[in-house]
Amino acid sequence: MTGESGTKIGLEIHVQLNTGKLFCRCRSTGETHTGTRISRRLYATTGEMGKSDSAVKFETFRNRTFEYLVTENSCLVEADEEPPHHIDGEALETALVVASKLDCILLERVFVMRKLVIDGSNTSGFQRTALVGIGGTINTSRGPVRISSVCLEEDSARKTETNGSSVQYSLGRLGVPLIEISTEPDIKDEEHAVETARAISFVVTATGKAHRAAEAIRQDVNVSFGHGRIELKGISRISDIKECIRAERERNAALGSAISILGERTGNETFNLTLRDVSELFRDTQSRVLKKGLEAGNQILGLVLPGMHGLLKSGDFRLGRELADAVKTVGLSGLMHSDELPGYGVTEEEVRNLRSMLSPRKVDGFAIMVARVTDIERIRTAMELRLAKIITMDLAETRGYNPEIGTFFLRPLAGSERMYPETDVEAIEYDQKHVCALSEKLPRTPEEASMEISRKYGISRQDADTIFRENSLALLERISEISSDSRWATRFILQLKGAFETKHGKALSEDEIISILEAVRNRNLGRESMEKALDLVYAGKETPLSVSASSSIVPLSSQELDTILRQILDEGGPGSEKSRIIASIREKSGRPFDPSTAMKAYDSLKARAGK
Amino acid sequence: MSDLGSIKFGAAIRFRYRNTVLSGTFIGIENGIVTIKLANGYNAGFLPDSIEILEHSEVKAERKKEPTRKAEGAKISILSTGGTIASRVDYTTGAVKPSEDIDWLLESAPFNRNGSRLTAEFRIIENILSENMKPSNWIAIARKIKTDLDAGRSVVVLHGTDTMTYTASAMAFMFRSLSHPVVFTGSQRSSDRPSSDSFLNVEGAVSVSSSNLGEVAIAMHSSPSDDCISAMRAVRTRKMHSTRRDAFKPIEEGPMGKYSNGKLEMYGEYRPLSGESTLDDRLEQSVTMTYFYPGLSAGDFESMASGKKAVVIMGTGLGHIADDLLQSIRRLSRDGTEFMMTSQCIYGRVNPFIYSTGRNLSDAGVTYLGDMLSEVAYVKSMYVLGNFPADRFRELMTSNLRNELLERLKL
Ligand SMILES: [Zn+2]
Repeated sequence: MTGESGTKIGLEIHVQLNTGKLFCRCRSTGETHTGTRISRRLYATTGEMGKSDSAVKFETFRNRTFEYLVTENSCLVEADEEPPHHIDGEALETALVVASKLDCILLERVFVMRKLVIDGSNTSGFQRTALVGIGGTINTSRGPVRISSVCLEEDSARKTETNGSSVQYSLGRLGVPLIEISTEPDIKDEEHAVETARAISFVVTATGKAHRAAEAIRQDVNVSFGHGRIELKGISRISDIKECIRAERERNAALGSAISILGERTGNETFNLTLRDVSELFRDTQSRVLKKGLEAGNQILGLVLPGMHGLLKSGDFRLGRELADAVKTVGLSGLMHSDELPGYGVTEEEVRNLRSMLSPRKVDGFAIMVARVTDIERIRTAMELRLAKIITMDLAETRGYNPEIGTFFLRPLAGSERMYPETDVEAIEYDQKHVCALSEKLPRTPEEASMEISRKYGISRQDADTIFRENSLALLERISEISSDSRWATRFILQLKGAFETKHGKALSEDEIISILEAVRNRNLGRESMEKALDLVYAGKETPLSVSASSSIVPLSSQELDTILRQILDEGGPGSEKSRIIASIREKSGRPFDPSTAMKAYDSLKARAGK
Repeated sequence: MSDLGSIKFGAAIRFRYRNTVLSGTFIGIENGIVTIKLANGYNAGFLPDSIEILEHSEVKAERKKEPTRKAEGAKISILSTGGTIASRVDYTTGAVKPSEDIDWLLESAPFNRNGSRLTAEFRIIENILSENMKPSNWIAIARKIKTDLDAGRSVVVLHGTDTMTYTASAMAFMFRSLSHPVVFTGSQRSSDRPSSDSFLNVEGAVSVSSSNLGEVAIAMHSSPSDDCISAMRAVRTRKMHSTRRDAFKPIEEGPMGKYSNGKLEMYGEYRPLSGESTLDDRLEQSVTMTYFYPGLSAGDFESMASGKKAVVIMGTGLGHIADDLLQSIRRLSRDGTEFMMTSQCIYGRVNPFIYSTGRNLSDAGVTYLGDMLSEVAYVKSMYVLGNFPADRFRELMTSNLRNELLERLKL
């Protein structure tokens, strides 16, 4: 099952659902901030088996406070001021159907668990998650890939800002249902990973319950190149999977060579680093970063990096990046090292002075950073721990990916001890037969899916295909229901929406669109009025709340149409030609009307005038 | 096949389920469902007939931790009475139960960081959820507190939040004077979650216990944020929310002090400490409390009230109940039952002189208790009946003994 040279690849696909939130009755969308903020701390607890998780210890070491922005779509549950309500039935059913479709064994009861996450992204300090299926498979062109589990979990809060040791999150996304599908490391290479990810996301989108937002699908890739499992987190584009795996492979290889050189130079014994205050050398520095740091009351700390000359950043070597990752975990913004100095405004003279103060050997590197002298112990510990791990080529950890800079350190891997039962939610019973029946009905291929959409909504295969590919099925369903016209709904989604956006240079959220359409429908007004209302809001002349009360969305009555037509005919000229008449009415009145009624009225007026 | 009943919690097991061999940790059997923690950390539920146990390990009995710790020269005692703050999850049943051990709660407290350690004595004096507290428990708790006060220690009491104001108010009345502060605290969000309010509540309570506060206090979150703890007068405080961290609010007054950013600031009006602690440890338990509602029948009312020494009536608005209960009150009063009136409104005072209903009740012998909180009135009448002659009851109930009555309600 392993690919070339000990490579192992597995995937974890997360898809947000468009149902309500998982454990409260808030909507999944509508992330407007109310202005209320709360601040919190999290305290590490031990897991069910009495073992504390290493990822948890790491967070306690960081000692941070968290600030949460309250949003319109959040309640006491998200604020961890109330226990969870019962699980969202639609979300649970969707997860079970997906598990069944992936040939998983469904478990007799669904248990909600607490997965310890104390980086602040969950107000409670844990993420609620439930295992719904195990041991499935998905077929790919290069053989079956085993599915280890399908889970239904709460999405985390979105990080909005990091400021030193304080991190800010918005509560809007917290609690949105997320289906997590994990594969065994059966994936052969990066191309195969992309294919597998596409096949799995199809199964979820086929339910019509997948969220449409750009970040609704997120991938984690588990890779190992023989030096421990690396979890690459939160890759939002399926196509990025390929680049991300490649970048991590290269990092592993480069670290391997760097460490063997370092070993020859130092014996790779424990590193004992000594940080010292070197601020005096930079009193008159022109380096913006250092100057700003000193002005803010910080110091410049410097240290020798034994044996690391030329390994920090040259050729493929990037040990500097690893050390920067380490100091970032204790709240620093980074460091500057000897392979890139002079640079960043640090002059040759300053480097010379620094060198004579630190007196590194020829093979040694050195680095400086903006920090407080009082933080020396924490910085030293963080750097030494990082080096101790790397020199043994223990590369197992959780990393992030950014197309610009490649992969970067996030946190240690979380073990399986970090889970214990959510005692506030009872074990859930469900009807397995019902779930299996629903999963039988799901389309097997994208072609089948669009055929089904085309049949159900009476729209062309081509339109249905686009609707499915763009994951707009849920939107189509809602607009069709409101407008009682699925063809108009299709036209709106595929043409009008884009046209409005281009014309007015403004986009509306799906929630805003739906609320506008509903308000118009509630006034018993039809499609023309809906289009007019949307036009007014896109143009910024009305707000989503005010538009339904506007008189400009009321269609012209037949008398009003007659009056306008008479005026046009009286004025004569090219505007009164039959081919131009619709445009002329629009010019005279900003209000909506039915063009075919207008044409009939025109014809009968003409006929009367002819007599 | 092994017998499921012989497998112990925590045993490693291997089993077959629908032709798949799985492994995990045995948790238990409840309501006909076998719970097994799978290798991936998730709990999974199985019908007993659907699984075949292939093998399981034996589990050694766990070493029990010594539940109390004595600290030489400690200036503070932390007494646990049970409740959420001293609760842990029972992983066998999944239920939250009082814990026998509170050390873990204080391990991560900031006063135990950076090499320094709080010298405090920890003792478990009760282990009950607060809804199970009885007046007899209050007396026992008061006596234990007295021992610590006399030993020169201030006292932090860990208590369930549901009836914390009752117990704390009972302490407030029973201790005529305090030589060291007595501070109650608890937890609204269980201590087994990293976000629990327990940690900061204990930190705040410990800090308040170092002040010169001579009144029994409740120290709990001031807001949903983990940044401030209010020190509130026990006899003016009420639990006003079922789940929020800031559930406890002083009614019609502000807190006596606040603890924030590691600093305690006391600014309210309060009685300072005295040279010694005086405890009146008797409570008359023949007291009841009844909530008036439209349709409350004289029969139901009497079955609550008859034979009692005192009855607190939580009336509507200014302190009213239906006319048809007046007869019962007159009759029971003649037999020696004392009736008192408080308001269901919680905020604001009762007044018998605005409407004829109030005047009639007052004429029938009902004592109007101003803005005293109903729960406080209940506890206070037990105290007054237990420790003073019966003919002083009305006088003492309407006098301000522990700042439980406010003369001025501020806007
Ligand atoms: Zn909510």
